Amino acid sequence: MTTEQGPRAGTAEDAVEGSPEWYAWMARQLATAAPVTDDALYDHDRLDAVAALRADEVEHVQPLVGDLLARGAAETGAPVAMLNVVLTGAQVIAGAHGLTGWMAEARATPAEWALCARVVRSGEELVVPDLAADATTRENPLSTVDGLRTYAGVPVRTRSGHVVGSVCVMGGEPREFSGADLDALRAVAAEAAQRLEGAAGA
Amino acid sequence: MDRSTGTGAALRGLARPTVVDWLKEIAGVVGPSEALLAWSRATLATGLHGTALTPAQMRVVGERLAADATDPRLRLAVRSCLLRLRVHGALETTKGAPR
Repeated sequence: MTTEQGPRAGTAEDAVEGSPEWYAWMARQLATAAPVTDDALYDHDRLDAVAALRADEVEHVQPLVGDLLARGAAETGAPVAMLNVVLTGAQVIAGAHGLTGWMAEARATPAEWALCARVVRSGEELVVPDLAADATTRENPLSTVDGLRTYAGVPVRTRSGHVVGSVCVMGGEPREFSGADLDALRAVAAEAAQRLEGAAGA
Repeated sequence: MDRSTGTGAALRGLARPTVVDWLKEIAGVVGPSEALLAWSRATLATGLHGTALTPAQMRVVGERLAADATDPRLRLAVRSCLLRLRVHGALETTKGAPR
């Protein structure tokens, strides 16, 4: 019996969903899968805030924030600006300006690659002038394969204090970010949060 | 073995999600019992049984699960699973070399 193939690959050929064999097998698989309580991404109140704002819906968010992200990119001189809403195991690129390639197609990345997940977990801004030179990011596939070299992100915080995601800019060349750059991103993030809450009637 | 060997997904070390991966992520939000119950309902509704589902089949079950979810946290956990599947699918057709 293997984890990948499930009970049908073992001796319980007749195990189907809902059968005692299936439940027993799956319960063993989930034995260590108690609700996650030590990771902000899984925080129930935060997830409720994401849901209430429909912040995970690209078709809802993009029209609300597209102009803000274009402004943020222009004011910081970055080629790409995004509003990333972090869920549990993935982030959705809910709003984007200048994005191309597979990320534009998928509108998501795994949470373990997402620098915006670090912003959500800490609730603080994150600036990485050179991903290739930073010990926490130099093995990140977004850097090693996709060539991202620089990142700056600020939290998107609701009035109730929940960080649903991050407004960030990225680029393919190492660079520093000035105080004015971060001010511009803070303004975009604040206005994005206001628009999301306004659209939700919050 | 990861079936994505040689693709952009493999290059980035991203394995194709499994049913067990999904159930663990959903259980991380709502607990194992509710995760299993919701999954069972979705598989019964779609007729897609087993833990060796294809990505297309997983997407069908996931979308059904999300559509039927009355708990917004459960819906978001499933949405997260679907997004990881979508990323993997997009990278399956993407090449590229380490920089």
